[in-house]
Order: sequence, then structure tokens, then C-alpha cells
Amino acid sequence: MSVDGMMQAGDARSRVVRGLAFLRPVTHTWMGRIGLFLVTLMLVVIVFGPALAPHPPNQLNVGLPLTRPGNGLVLGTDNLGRDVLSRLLTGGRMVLLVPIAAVTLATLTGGLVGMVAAYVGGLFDAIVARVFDILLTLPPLLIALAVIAGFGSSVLVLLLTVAVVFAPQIGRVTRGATAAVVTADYVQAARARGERRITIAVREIAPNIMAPVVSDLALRVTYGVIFVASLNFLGLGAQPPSSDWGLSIANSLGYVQVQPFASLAPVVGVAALSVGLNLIADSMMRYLSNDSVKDSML
Amino acid sequence: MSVSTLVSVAEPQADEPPRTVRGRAARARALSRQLAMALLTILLISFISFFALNHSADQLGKNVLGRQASRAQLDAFAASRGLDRPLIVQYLDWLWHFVRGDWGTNLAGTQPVKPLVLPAFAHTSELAVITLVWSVPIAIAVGVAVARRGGPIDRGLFVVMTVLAALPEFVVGLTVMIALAVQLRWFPVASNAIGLGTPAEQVKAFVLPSLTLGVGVVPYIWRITRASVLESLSAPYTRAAVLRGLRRHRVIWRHAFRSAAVPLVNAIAINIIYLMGGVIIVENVFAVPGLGRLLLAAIAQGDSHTALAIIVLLGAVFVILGLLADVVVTYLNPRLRGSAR
Repeated sequence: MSVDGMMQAGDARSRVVRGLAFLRPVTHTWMGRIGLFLVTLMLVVIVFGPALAPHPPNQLNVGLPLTRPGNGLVLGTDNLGRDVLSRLLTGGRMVLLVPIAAVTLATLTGGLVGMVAAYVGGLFDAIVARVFDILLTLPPLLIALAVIAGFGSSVLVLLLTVAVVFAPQIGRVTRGATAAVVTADYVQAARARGERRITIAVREIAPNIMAPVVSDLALRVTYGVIFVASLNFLGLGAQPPSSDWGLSIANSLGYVQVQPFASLAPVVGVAALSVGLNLIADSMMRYLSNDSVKDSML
Repeated sequence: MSVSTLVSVAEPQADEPPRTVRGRAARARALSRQLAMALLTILLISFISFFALNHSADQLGKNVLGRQASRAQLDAFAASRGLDRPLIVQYLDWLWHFVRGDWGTNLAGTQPVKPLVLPAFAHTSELAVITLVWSVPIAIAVGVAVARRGGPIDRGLFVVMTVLAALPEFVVGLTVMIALAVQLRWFPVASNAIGLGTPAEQVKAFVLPSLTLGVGVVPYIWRITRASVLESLSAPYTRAAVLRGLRRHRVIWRHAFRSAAVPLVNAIAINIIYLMGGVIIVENVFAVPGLGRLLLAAIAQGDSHTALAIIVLLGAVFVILGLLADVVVTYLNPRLRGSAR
């Protein structure tokens, strides 16, 4: 191979490296790498699982109820004779999608309000800060239970409830991040240049609060996964016969002595997702803090 | 982290009482403001819950009288329960009675709420206290003893704690249940012996739920302990102690740990609050006859008076503990106390 060819290969490689540079905050620790692996794996399960499932998740009597693994049923059957593997492969969608949707919604409302409040300042900012403070003192699970009990359990109610719980939390973070940036020289400079407020907000402030806000969002999604899975487990989210992981765990709980795999399989699914997300969030936070250099071997 | 998901707590407002505060009168004023704020929060919780849990009078009537109830029967039911009044009047009426200790009856009107809720509250509190008593000292001891940056033990602990912290309570609960109750048969699968069984059975019944809750508490307290001990280990007075020739053991426990206590009090309070939320899930995993289980049952039956009483009770505990933590932290930290004393 000519020197030229090697150069090209090197270029291609460095292009790939540069393309993946945005992953650096996640991959700079090996815990972050494991987290990325776990989450990618769960994404594959959630996206392709329904196509790979050997049986429809709600088909009854695939085998005798509560059979242990064996006889072509990799994880056995649950109390209604449904295939546990198929239910594992199809049951992760809600636990991932609802938190992502809820966090997005909460960012678009609470996050935006927080940013605008810090930027505008004055009375509006004071009122917003007070309202956030009051909302943050409310115990999320209790409020969620009350709201869901009153409005009935549906995916939409669940999504809105999680969004309402997260909005003030995200709002407080964006407000703090914006307040730290508003007085910076480059914002003053933009003001002196006579830039419009909206331009300053989009061009100067938004890029500079991105890092703390995004790493906070990663943490929120982790919390959201745990929150939604817990509510599903309590029977306040997904409803039977959904194969949702949280619901399946609650459903199989009474038969744990006979067929532990029926509850163990969705437990592993939830655990892999929440641990993976938390490792990613943790790694991103560490990248931002001064600790990143000292603790980089972790 | 499973800790704060369910109970994410507002951080203590470090910027509230300090600096300008002068003397006892100012501190009393700050305290009464916090008290008023706490009261307002409890009211807000009850207000939101009352309106969220409020089913239509017809719905309630059908739940109690059956689907075939006639219009006249439904109206009579609504009138007898006062459900035909405006909502805000119903709320104020409920609040007036609740504050005076009259918590109403369950949905069917057959059983007063209070004797239903209080024993459950006792069991929940027992579970929370037992968990704190073992988990907090362990977390602190590990945090202080292994407080050094880097090193294989620190690194290993870091991984374990980060993973544990990310697990939802029911995931931990099921795992311990399968390992210790189903496989090893050391403990019962269900903890309904609490409040009924022999003393030995009762003790056994507490082990798994408490272990599950503790797994949520330990990583949090450990992390705070580690961080604050590390910080005070690099402080000048610690260096002075080292230079005086004191042994490492003594430096850590006598000097560094002392100043690490302030964030710890706060962390412990946050965890008590977390426990009041975490129990709702753990109780439903292990069938503990506590508030969380009662609350879920009440919600499933549309029994709003019982649900409301439990939510307000838990909410009040939540707010009061938060307030206590604020007060203790302010008292412990001379900087937050301002120039008093």
C-alpha cells in the first residue's frame, strides 16, 4: 500500500473520531462506556424486539402456565401461559419513550420559562423563582398518585404527570445556568453591538448553557425511567394486558416462588436501562466538573 | 438515582436566612417564615389532592349503591354526603373536620378512616426508622473509612454505589426476594406478619423490606460523606493536624469528620423524606401492611377519603422533616447562623 493510501485511511479514521467527538463526555470514563453499551443494547431490544419476538406477547397458553425455561421456551411462561421472552422483547417501549417525551415537554415549558426569567430578570424572574420553589416542595410521587387516581391511568395522563413533576426541576437548572451567563462579556458585547434580544438568546446564551442543561436532562431521563417504571409497577400507568416491564413484574410477583424468571426478566430489563442511563448521566456530569481529570480513570 | 426520583427535594435554601440576620429576633422571624411556608405547602398538597381525587357525585354514588341506582337514589346519596355543594365548600368542610381530627369515613360509609390509617402509619414509621438505624451508620462508616481518592477499593465502591443508586426499589426488592426468600428461604416472601405474627416472625418480616430501602439510602449518604470528608481532608486545619504528627485514624475521625457533619444532617433528612416515598413501593412489593399499601388499595377502590388522609399525612411528614432539617443545618453551620453568638 502506498503512503498515500495510508494517509487516506488515517484521514478516514480521524474523520470518524471527529464525528464521534460529541460522545466524548460519555465515553471519557469506562463507566460511561458501559452505560452507553447498556443503553444501546436496550435500544436495540426496544426497537427490534417486537419483530424478533417468537410469539405475540399477549398470546395465551403458549405453554402451560408458569413453566420454567426449557422446551423451546427460553424464559418459560407467566401465570397465563404467555411467553416471557416475547413479553420481555416487547415490554420496554413505554418505560423509555414516556420519560423522553415527558422530559422534552418539561424542557419546552419549564426550561424555557426558567431561561426567559433569568434573561428578563426583575419582577418576572422573582415570581418565577418563587413559583418554582413552591412546586419543588411538593412530594412528586404523592402528587402523581393523586393526579393519576383522579384522572384515571392512561399513557397521556402518565406523560403529563411526569412532565409536570419535572418542569420546575428543569426550570430551576436552566434559570441558574442562564443567570450565570447573562452577565458575561460576550453577552454584553452582543448587546453593545445592538443585537436583538432573541438573537442574543439563541446565538449567545443557548450554546453556553447547553452543557449543564444537557447533562441535567440525561439525569432527568434516568429519574423518569425509574419513575414511570415504578408507577407502572404500582398499576397506575400501563394497564393489562400490556407487556410493559413494570406491569409484568407486578403481575408475576405472586408467582415468584414457582416461576421466578417471569419477574426476573423484566427486572433485568428495567435495571439495565436505568443503570445504563445513570452511568451516562454520571459520566457527563463528571466531564463538566473539575473532577473530570482527577477521576478520569473511573 | 432511585433516591430522589420519587422524592426529589428542594435543596436547603442556603441563601435564605444568613448574612443580614442579626440576633435572636431575626432568627425567630426567619423561622416563622419557614413555618408559614411549610404550612402553605401542606395546604397546597391537600388542595391539589382533594381536587384531583374528587370523583363526580354520580360516580361515587354508583360505586356505593351499584350501577342500577336510580336518579332519585343518586341524588339522595349526594345530598346525604353533602356532595351537592360546590367543590370549594366541600374542601373547606373536609379541611375543617380533618384538622380537628375527624377524618371522615371510607367510601361505603361503613368504617371511619382514622383507625384504618393510624396503625398503618405506625408500621410505615417503624420500617423507616429501622432502615435509618442500620443504613446511615454503615454508609457513614464506609464513607469515612475509605475516604481517599483513587485506589482499587475506592474505585470498586464507586462502581457498586453508582449501580445501586440507579436501581428502582422494586428491582432491588424483587432481587433480594428471589435470592433470600425464594432460593435460600431465610425470610418470608410476604411481610404481612408485621403487626400480627409472633415477635420472631415480625422481626423476620422487617428484614427484606428494610434491606431494600437501605440499598437506596446507603449510596446517597456514602457519596455525601465521601465528598465532604475529602473536602475537609484537604483543608488547612487538617494539614495542621497531620503536621502535628497525629495518626491518620485520629485526623480523619476527630478533625475531618466533624466539619463533614453539616451536609450529612441534610442528607439524612432528605433520606428520611425519601423513605416516606420509597415505602409506598417497597410495601407493595413485600405486602407490608403500611400506609403505601393502604394508599394503593384506597386508590384502586376509588376511596378518596382514605387516600386523601394518607396523602396529606405523608405530605405533612415530608414537609415537617424538610423544615426540621433546615433548622438543624442552620443551627449547626455557624456561617448560616449569621453574626448571632
